[in-house]
Amino acid sequence: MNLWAVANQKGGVGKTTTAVILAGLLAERGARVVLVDLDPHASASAWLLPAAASCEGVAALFGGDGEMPEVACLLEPTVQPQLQILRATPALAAVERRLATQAGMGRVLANALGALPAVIDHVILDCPPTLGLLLVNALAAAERVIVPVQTEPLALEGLRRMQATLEMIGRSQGRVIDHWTVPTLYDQRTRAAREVLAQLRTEFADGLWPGVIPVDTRLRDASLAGELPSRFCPRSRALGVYRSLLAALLGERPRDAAVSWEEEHAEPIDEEVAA
Amino acid sequence: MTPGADHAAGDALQRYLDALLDPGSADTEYQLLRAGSVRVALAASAVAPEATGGDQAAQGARCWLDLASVLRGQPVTVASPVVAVPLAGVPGWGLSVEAQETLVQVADQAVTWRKQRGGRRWLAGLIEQFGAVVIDPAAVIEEAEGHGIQGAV
Repeated sequence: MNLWAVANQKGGVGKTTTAVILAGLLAERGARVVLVDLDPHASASAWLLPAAASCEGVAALFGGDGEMPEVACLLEPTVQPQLQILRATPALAAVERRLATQAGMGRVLANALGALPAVIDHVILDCPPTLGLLLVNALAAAERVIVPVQTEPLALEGLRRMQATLEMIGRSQGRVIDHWTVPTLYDQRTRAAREVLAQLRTEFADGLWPGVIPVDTRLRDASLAGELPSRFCPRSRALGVYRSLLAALLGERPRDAAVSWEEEHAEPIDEEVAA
Repeated sequence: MTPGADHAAGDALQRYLDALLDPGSADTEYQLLRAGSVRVALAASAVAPEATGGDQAAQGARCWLDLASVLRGQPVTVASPVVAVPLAGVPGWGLSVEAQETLVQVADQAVTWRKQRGGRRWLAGLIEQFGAVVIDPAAVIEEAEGHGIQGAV
């Protein structure tokens, strides 16, 4: 079982989009995947599940009134047969408040996910954008952390903070956390995006994936339709780049292999502008 | 914020994270691994605190034992580990596994320890909660050496 967290302490960088797309692409390949929504905003849950919560979701793992349930009992199916989701609910915000200062609570999620059935191939954690109990649980459980970084100036400071957090968690656990920085929401028509990408490649080269995820309005359309992008817009350019990223994450192509010229330089798809 | 205040804030955050991740005195931390479709638990203290996973360049010279082959009783080494797990305290040795899963905390009483080690001396016990066999890394290396495999110098 591969356990990857998609995390950044800055919001609006494409965490949920990245988590949902990677989970969908893995399921499309036939892998059995669990997407865990750890963000109290519950964006991934709203994207893929009916609005009415049928169970308490991930919050139940952190203890409620009753006994902690088995994690497998909390999984809910999605439109993609191989993909299940552990939903976020508003109760998750209360978990953060209630337990954030209790010693030892940073390992709850790792222990719960360790008990998932052995048939699960991949677990993707969609993290909240604040450093607290839930993010610490995700980073402590993850074998690898994917850090989406929006290619805009304010994102670089967020990346610095995130890298410092990863170092500290690693220090607490006595390990080096494998992290991949993934530039997202890239619009090469803007000078700011080009400059930030250049800065990422010079100042943040360690752990930086060489590709860039372009702005692609089809992804937003997929979320509006409550569909997985891998089913809704499988030929969109962003999906193509995410496929390259996934191949690198799975070791099918070298981590530092540049993506194709077409992936790097094709014009961003923006149907609203085009119209 | 002044550099001194920045440093103090960093120290405070590190203490907070250490406390959140404190496994507690009664628990042992295990790294869950997958080898030959078997879930394996290895005490986290037995894993060297360096980059694990696929970054082989960071691993240094080690003899990489294919853990699945050890479980089958026919240990072999591989030149390039699929997922590298360097062993602590034995610099010449590491394990190649199919996947590295998560770190878990387990109370000692939750492990069914094997009382007599006849064959398969590396099999130390079972953690039912995680469906994982606990391996003894020293016995894994002994098993390999018994088959004429030597660690990297």
